[in-house]
Amino acid sequence: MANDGPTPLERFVNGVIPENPVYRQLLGMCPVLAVTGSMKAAMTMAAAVAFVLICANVIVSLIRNLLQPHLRILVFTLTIATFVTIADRLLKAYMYDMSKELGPYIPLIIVNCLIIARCEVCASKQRVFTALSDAVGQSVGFALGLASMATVRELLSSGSWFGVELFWKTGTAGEQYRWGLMALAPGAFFTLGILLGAAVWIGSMCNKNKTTLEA
Amino acid sequence: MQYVGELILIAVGAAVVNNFLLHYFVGVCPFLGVSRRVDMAFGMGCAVTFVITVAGALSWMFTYYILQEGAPLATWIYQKCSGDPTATSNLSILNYLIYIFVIASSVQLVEMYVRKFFPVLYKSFGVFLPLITTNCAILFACLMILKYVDGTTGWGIGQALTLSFFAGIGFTIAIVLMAGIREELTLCDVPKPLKGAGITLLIAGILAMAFMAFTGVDKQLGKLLTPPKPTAAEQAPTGESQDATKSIAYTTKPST
Amino acid sequence: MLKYIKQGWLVIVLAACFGTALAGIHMALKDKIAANQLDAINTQIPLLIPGADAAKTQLDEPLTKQLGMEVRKGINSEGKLVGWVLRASGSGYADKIELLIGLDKTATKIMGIAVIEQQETPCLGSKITDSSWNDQYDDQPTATELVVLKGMSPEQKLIKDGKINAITGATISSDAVTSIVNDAVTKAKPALLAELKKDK
Repeated sequence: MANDGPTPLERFVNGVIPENPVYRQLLGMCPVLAVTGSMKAAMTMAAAVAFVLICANVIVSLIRNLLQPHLRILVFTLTIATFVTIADRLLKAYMYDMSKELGPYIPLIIVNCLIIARCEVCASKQRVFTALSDAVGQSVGFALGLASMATVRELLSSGSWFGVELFWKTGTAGEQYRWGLMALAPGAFFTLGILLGAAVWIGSMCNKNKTTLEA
Repeated sequence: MQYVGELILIAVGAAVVNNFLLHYFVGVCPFLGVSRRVDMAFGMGCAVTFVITVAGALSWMFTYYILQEGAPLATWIYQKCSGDPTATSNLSILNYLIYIFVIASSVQLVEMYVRKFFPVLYKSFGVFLPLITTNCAILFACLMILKYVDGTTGWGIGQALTLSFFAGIGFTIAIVLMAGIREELTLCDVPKPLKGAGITLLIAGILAMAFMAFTGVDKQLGKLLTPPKPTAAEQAPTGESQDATKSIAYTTKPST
Repeated sequence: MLKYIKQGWLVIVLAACFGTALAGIHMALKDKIAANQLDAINTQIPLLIPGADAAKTQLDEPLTKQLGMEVRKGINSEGKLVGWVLRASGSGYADKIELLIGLDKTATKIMGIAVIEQQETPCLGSKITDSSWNDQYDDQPTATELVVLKGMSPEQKLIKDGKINAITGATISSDAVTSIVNDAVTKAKPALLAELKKDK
């Protein structure tokens, strides 16, 4: 058991902050930029990604001993594409309005590097339970990344959160302060750039504290 | 003439107005990764343009003849097998699976073809080809084509090819611009936390703002290209923009 | 041959499993999805044509085929024709816009429009879905084409003379909606009138 690598719990914790898919690994950037205009859309996207990631990781982990090395990418893609189709249909059936809003970004989960990277790095080498907790950890980390982006953008662009207007309400004089640019493409790039810088800065501060404590 | 006009509109729309990178955010991963040097960025852009065109054409064919509801080829086979002449097939559930395999195989195809016949070209951008399978821009182009093939818009192969080729051109423009700026950036003193991806994203934001200025270019072009209708209203002659900053109210203009 | 089967059997087995799973999902959800799509239209019909019964307002197939766009006959609870609903689409600022257009029985007046699909810029172009804006189309005459103007006064907006006030900062989206309405109405009107005569 000693050569089993990290435990499931470590895998889970790793995915949330130290190896956060958005801020540390910079994986799967399209949804991070594209669907974070509102909190609702971002959370639906996070749920869809989590569903696909968990299912794909479990399946790949189950068949890891049968995989032919040169065919593994093909198998990953097949698995991911199937689960994305299922997620897409489920959304269309039970959350029709949301599926219309997310539009092509749901099928684009297929080419989200995050999922294929987790299949390759973790699921194809670890046991099912480890792979599962890794997938859950990464999904939580991804959801956190999306949520931070969406919170900033939705608050600034329309003064609301999860569609509930907190300030700059419609019909009041405050409406003119809404920062419409944040809902558009440049706003997405700016928010991510600044949040990324902040994440790196906080990370370096933490490291500095640790080294000074040890010294 | 109408057809050519439509193609021009699609081309301008895909290349600059609704740039895949700066408007739809697809293909951001290579945009961050391979935009350090202009020559590499250009190679990547060429490779994407190449693959996106092939994949676009193939996915149009698959969608039109096999996947969409009532597609001729699939329906014909289905009718022969079931013996029911009124049956129609609907294989749209397989859309995404087919697209991703079309993309993967066209990447392979392009790689083999280029290596065999254009060794010089292969040297300049061959290394990027395998990376392209997971480039969202390609799948996104296929999905756009899927959206417009059905129903009232009824795109043919011409429109699909134009869209995908010029989407690739737009991608190349954006990534080369970015690489040019990043080459200059090596001489600048960037705050430490923003080094690398952070500053790239901020610059991308400014580029996206610049590209917003193209807004409405395709609509105005469309007005020029379509012959005026006899009852058409006089259009406001000023350049129109959807930009929030330009929301100046113009005085009412009577129709003719 | 045997070599390929030996290496590829997993892919084949997986493909078969996933294919079955997909077919199952498709069978289970296809009716629900179709119902959702219909619902999106049906909930709008009574709002577009007052008095129309969504359950009785069905797609009129010969007209739909003839015009190349979906046409519905607005039928009230007594089974009488009260109006028409057209479904039209065209390109907007960013992407396709799809509209439902309600016309009165003789196709002389627009009863209202509803946007069922759009990907316009949030906060600007997406205001085309606000009823405060698209209520302007209610009761507009169809005799002439509608015109988009900028900066109309509130009094001007109340006069229904075929003029539409553009959304501030989103003239292109306003233009797009108006031209979709114009094209659809011009195209459909003769056919609707002919159908009306036939009914009498």
